[in-house]
Amino acid sequence: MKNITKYFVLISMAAFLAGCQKDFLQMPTSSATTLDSVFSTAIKAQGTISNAYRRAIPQGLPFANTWNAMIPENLSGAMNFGFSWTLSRNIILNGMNANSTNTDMDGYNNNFPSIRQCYLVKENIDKVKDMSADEKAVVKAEMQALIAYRYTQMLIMYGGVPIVSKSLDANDEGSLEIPRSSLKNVLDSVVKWTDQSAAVLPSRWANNLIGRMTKSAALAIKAKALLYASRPLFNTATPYLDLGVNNNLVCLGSTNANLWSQAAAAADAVITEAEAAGGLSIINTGNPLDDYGNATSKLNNPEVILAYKFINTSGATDNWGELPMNAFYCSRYWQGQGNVLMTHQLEQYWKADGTNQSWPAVGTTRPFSEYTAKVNQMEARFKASFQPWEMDAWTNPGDANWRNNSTFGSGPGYGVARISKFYYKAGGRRWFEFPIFRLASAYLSAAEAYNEMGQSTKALEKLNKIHVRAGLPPVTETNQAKLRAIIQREWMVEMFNENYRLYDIKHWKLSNIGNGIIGGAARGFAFNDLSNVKLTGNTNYTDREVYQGFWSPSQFLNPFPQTEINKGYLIQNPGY
Amino acid sequence: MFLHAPTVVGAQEKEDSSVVVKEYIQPEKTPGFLLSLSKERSIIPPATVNGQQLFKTPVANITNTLYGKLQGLVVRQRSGEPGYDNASLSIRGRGTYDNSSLVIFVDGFQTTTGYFSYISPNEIESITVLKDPVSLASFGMRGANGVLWVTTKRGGAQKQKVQASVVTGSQQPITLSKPYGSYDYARLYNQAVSNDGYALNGNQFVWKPRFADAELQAFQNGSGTNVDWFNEALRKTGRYTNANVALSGGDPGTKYAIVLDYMKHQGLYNVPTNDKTSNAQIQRFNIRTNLDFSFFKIFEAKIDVGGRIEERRYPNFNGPNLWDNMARYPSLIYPVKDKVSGAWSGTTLYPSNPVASLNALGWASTQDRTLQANFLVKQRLDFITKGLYLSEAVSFNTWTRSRSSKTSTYARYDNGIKTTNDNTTDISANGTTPEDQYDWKQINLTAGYDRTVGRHAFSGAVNYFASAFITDSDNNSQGYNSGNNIFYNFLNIGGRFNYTYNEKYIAEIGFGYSGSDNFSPSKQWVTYPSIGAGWILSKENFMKNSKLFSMLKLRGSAGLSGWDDTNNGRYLYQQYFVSNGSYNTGNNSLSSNAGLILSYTANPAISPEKSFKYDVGFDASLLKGLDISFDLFKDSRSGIITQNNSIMAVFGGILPFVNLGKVVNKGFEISTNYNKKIGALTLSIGGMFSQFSNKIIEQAEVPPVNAYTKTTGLPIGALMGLVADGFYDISDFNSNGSLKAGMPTPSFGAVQPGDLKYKDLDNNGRVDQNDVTKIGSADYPSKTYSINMVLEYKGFDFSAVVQGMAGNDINILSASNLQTVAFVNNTNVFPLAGNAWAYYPSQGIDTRSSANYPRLTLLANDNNYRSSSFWVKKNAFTRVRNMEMGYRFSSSSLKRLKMENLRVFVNAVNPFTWSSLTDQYNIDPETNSGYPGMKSFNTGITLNF
Repeated sequence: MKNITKYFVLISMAAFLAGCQKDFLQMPTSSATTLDSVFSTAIKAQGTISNAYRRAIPQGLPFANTWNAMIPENLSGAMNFGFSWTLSRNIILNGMNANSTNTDMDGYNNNFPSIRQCYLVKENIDKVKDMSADEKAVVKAEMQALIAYRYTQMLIMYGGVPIVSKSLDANDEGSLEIPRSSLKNVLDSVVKWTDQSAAVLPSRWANNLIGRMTKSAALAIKAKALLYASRPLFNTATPYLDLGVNNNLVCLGSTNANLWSQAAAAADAVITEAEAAGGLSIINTGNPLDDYGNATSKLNNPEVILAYKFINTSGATDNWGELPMNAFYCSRYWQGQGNVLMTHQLEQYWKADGTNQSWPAVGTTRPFSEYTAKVNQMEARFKASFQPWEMDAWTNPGDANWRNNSTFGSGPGYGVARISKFYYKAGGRRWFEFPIFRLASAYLSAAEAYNEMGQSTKALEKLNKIHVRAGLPPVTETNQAKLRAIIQREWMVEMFNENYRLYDIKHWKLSNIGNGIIGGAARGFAFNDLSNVKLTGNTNYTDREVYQGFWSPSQFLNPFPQTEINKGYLIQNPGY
Repeated sequence: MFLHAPTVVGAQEKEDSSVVVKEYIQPEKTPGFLLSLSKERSIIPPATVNGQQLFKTPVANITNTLYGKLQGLVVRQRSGEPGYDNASLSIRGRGTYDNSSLVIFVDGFQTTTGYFSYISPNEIESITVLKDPVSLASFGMRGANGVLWVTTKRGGAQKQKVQASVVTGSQQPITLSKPYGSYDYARLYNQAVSNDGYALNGNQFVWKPRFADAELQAFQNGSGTNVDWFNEALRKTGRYTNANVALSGGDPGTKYAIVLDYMKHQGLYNVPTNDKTSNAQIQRFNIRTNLDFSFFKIFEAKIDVGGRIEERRYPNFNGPNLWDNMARYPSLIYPVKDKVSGAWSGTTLYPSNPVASLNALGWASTQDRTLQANFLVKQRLDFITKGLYLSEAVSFNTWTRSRSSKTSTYARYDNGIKTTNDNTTDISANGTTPEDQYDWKQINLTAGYDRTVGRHAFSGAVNYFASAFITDSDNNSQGYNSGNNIFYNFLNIGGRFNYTYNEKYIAEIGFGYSGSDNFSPSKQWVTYPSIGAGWILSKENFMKNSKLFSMLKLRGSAGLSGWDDTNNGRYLYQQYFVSNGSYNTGNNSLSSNAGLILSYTANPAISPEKSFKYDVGFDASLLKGLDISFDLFKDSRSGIITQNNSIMAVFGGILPFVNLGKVVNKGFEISTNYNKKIGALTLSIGGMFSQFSNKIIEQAEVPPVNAYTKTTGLPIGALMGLVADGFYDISDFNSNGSLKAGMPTPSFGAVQPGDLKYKDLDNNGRVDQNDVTKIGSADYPSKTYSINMVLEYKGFDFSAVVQGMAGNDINILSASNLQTVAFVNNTNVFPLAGNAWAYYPSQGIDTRSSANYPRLTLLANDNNYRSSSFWVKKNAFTRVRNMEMGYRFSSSSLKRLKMENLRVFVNAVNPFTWSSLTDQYNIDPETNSGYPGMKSFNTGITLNF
């Protein structure tokens, strides 16, 4: 009997313990947010939408906390490679290779977190209870447009890439082995996605939501993809380097003249939509410096279709986490002082009277006073973009923040001038909105496309809208080849530092790309008998080779990371 | 002493001449979880050490007494900084590349390393290493990395005993690695600065010294500034003092053991400990009271209380940074005190004058309070069936650390000019702030049965263990379930059953059934079975009369155990969203919209790491007095939690953690012991040797370009890098500075003569990351060995422990960076770089043929200072860990003093080291940089009443 009692006690104790165990081993409540709670209300889901934008939009910009950041113009030959510790230096001097280097700050792999986030929002937004069906449709269209934007950028940098069409499941490894799609497929997808989105997206957003995708922005993505597809690098049967049976990954397989008319139509569609329902316009008040300055610097000016609005909230305290986006573009920061104008880009600018400036030949030393005189003769867009040595910036007259000594700092000692674009009348403001799409680019796209179609009248009409706004006499050239060169020059000038030049040069396949533009002798100004520039008291200047850039045809497109290639599902671009 | 000796009544115990030697004999009962079996019935590889042996190494931290004492326990010395001198412990090599921490149980309850580290050796009865499959299976999900099983001293049913001892000694660094003085610094600086002009001077070595001959002379004859920062900031010796009293005794109903212990350990800083400044020091106050009661025949109770206070004090300057600065700051930068102003010297480049850091910043302290209180009741249920018992135990363990300080700052001067914004301030006291804490509540319920009937001997126990640990330390960033009050809840039902037939055949099974809160409800419970067998051959007829063996036992076991506490974060099965970035919208005033992203992809199937262990071995006693134990073991780990890097980039999410890693670790251990009595001389000498090697079978490595770059298939932590191939010679270059045709181009910046040359393993004409391969073994030994000896002769005794390791390599570039990299970043130059490559015939400098260091430079050099075989050195060493000489006064002479025993002793800790790394580079094989490991010389006295 005693035994039975004992066993009974034991058994009931065990049962009691077993009962407690479930609670005892439960995860404690914490402050973290889980999947279930996120897509329950519009307010909570907002965070995922914001992140989708945050990841998708600043592609290629030094927005992230990357200590050795670069900006694309460091690679395009427009500016020097920056400080010796930047990513760009190695690319300029040694070229890209599959192990570490890439023209995209983010790198290839980082495209996909952005795309995944967009798909997650798109797939889950229907779960939100307090949003109307129309609102949900707009969110989905926004996500679709953001995906299209990333694919457009990838198309330009890599050619055909794997097309992801939903948020993928990590546990289903088979579904992850997505091979590269042909360039044509990627282009068609972008066109399809942007068409779908543009049909749903609003033309304008409420004031507090400006910064989100509009109809004009979706159309601008489409126009950009078609423009680059039409250009010689892709629009050919013979790719820049042979990839055998996989040539369709790096070219379209034939020269399709019809693509140019599609590009022209797409650019026209942007202009039409933007200038009507979008409420945008090219700023032209007759004061070129003010107009171009405002178009590139003023927040939410009428030329901005879509901008990456990034604020350095820490202000002058230089919180590195927020700094790079501003610092590398702004010569008031020492990081920005490493970036200086190089001669090749200088030569693209006209004088204010529309003629070419005569800069001294390589190796010729001229007095510094001549330098000062010549820069003063330059067109408004030069003055809005650069601050020459021993001079206060034209962009911020009388402002102590932009005096000669305020931005001199610790540069490389050579170079044509300091950079000041994006800071027109910005004073002490250290941050700016980076224009992802500016209406001017639609005009230049249309101009380029019409010229390629042989419609010089239409081309000149579009081109001069931009050219004349800059205070220059209208272009009248009708020879297709000559006009092409003028339009290309207009691109480099008007869109300097807006992430066009590097890819434009490659996609135009400019013949001297390896001989003075990206590769070969990189020229800049030296001062004081081939020595460093001084704050004041400079005596002379000389155009000289400051380093030799690397070029090989493989560099037309970026390499895929070797670690990804080694997983066995991707084909590497030729030459890597 | 401050305690009165209790009067001893009754006859003295019979004089035994070998009191000290006895301490070295393995205990009769093998300590362990659930069962404590006799030596004969145990199938556990023996590895136990008792507290007296550990007391022979007078050091502050118990982990530093374990060298060479426990077979299977790899103990590696680290920093000697008072209060932060834990040795690193691991059992039988490395079985996993995830968390390989062993688990420590004190008196049947798990404790933290921090708790264990500062237990006094006087509190300890024994420490056992549990490493066999059966024992570890019964620990379930906490068993995989092995267990350190500690028991504290208990009273016996005997007359009262009092033992008091005091030991004190002075400590010195084992190895103190100092940079060159000003003359050599300046001499070599001239080389470095000239080397850096190579490219600018048309690819020629042109001598352009920074220091003129007159300056060099001034440094040489002592008129120039030449400060030895180590000399200025350090005193010659630190101090260690320990005093303790242990009382024990009792009657059959009540037994007690009480230990009082005080320890003070002072560091090397040359600064007084007073109101305004402080040397590094720790003071420790321990009290332990272990009480045993038995009543009503069936009940036994134990009440154990172990508490202590630890007070640490330091100069108010980060210790590792101070040691860095002493190594980093050149001798010639400034005198300790500025000659013009008389204030502390300092510049913007060298702002933290090491002497001022000690003297002018005040001090900081931490106060730790620890208590472990255990309570156990046991019922002998012999009235139900003979041998049945139940026991119920609880443990409360709590620790808090608070911090307080008195701080000030000082103005820096250089040649009478104030160089920084700092001003000299008066010292001010800062309030006490809490820093960290934990509490740990555990329950142990056991039902056991222990009986021998005829030829059948049976022992078995089943145990229910519940553990709730709560801490503040935020070590959970990956899991995003972090902050204060982090819970770790764990349950285990463990069992062990031993059956012995006819004292010959032994069968044992063990199991664990564990639940951890770290996994999803469907994955949190796992069963861990195990089985073992033993055969005592020497009891068989055919061996009974063996002339060789007095005992020979074969044993073998296999079993599963697990590990629930991954380094990769907690609750990996839970899908989180975490905030990430923000996106601004708006017209004139921008509004920031906070962003949210999916955290790492949840893996609902995540489960604890598994370890399948095998062990076969034998124990033999030879008639001549030699004992031998041998074990072969294998540990196959699977399901090691690893981030799945093999997932394609198109996935786009943060990669999930998966149970995919596999590592195999195997090896053998052999230990011998020889006891002999030759007349009045008693002798015991023992040796241990163990060898182990591991190999990563699977770790989701992204396949590298070349197979030789792969780390899968290599041991964990194998050193990877380029293969160095000597230095570039002048003849390797064209006149324009480019490398001659046919030479592979390195891709780590421009090279010049004297730079390191690397092998282009894939022959593609470029030296880059694709030429990285295995260049050395991991910095973890593959062989450990030790010799323990003790001699006793007519009251004199002598003992020594020698321990060593082999098979490990070290990359001095990372292990001892400041000492290895000369000049770069305004640092110093050490003798290691004294014979650098240089070619200045005009100065009579030409080390091209004899150089053992690349050419010096003042600039960051990505080519030379990167992981390569050039910097990998063998790191085998042998160290005398402890030597002690003692004398025990004969009892007759003590009787008048009412003393039972009086022993005086002198001993040395770490007195001798043989290490090629120390010989060649003056780097200690274990403490590679920072506060050095210590050696010490001590004297002490032990009295027994």
